[in-house]
Amino acid sequence: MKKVFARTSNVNSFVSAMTRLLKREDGIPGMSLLFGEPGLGKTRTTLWWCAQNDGVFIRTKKLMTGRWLLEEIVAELGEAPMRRTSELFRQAVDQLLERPRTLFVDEADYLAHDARVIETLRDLHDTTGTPLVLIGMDQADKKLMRFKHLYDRFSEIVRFAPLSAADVKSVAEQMCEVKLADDAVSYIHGQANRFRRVVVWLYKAESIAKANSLKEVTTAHLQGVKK
Amino acid sequence: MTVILSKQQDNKEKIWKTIRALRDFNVEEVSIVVNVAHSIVSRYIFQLYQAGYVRPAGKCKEGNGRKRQLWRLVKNTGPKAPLPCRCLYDPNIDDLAAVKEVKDVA
Repeated sequence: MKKVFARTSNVNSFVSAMTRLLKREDGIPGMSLLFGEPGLGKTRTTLWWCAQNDGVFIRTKKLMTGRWLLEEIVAELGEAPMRRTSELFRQAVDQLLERPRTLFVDEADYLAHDARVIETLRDLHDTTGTPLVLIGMDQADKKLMRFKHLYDRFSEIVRFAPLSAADVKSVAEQMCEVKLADDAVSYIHGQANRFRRVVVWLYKAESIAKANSLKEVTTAHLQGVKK
Repeated sequence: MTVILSKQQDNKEKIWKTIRALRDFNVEEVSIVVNVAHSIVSRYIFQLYQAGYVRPAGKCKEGNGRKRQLWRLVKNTGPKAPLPCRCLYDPNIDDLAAVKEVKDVA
């Protein structure tokens, strides 16, 4: 098994959306929404992107008020937060203008109950123009659709979907050291569409191939494991 | 306090940023996400462990049945990565943390 970050179609669409976001033309708003069911690797993918590029990652909490959020953002940008809310906002704006970084806000649908908090994010984006990515769970788009001014500013909306058969194939090609036959790929896809489960199957396929010195693993081999 | 920083802090910065966002993590996972060699991640996390920043949080099972040590961050001091220099220097609180001698658990 090769230890690499497998690029699925989800990851690819996220990366291309981020590239468009960073190279957008004047007048196009720079906010983006990323959502999908839990366990599809939204957080991992953003962290991976953050590690290669300049990004700041903020995890929100259910009880977060606007002040708390600003405090967190300022601390994350590397400054000691001031006391007053106006000063906090100015600090955040100054930091972002000085060194523009992409802001990632995880679990953004937590903030959807309070218009003031979520519109603070919009203010921050409008005054500084830095790209802002909200990450939410499934249905986050519907929750945020209530805020029209905010929703208008989403220039990229990326939805993470469960792995397709083509994804399983490409993951197998990137990570697995043996070749999988097409029927084996579709068999694995039928058994698992979560990334972690797929990896477990790939481990199995590899060990089968090793034990029997096979060049290619087919469904018959995989089904044999179950007995 | 002035501390002479090593050149390699870029990797440590990345690792620190990632483990701050993950709840539980193992070395493997972090090294894949930040795209840094396994040995570098492992060394840094062990240094953090020695200074009391992370602690072991059980084991997780991998696809091939092998078990891996899970870690959890317990002292989240801020966005700047603590840097090892005989002891561990934390730029967030501008302080040095003593590195205690611990037996290898990883």
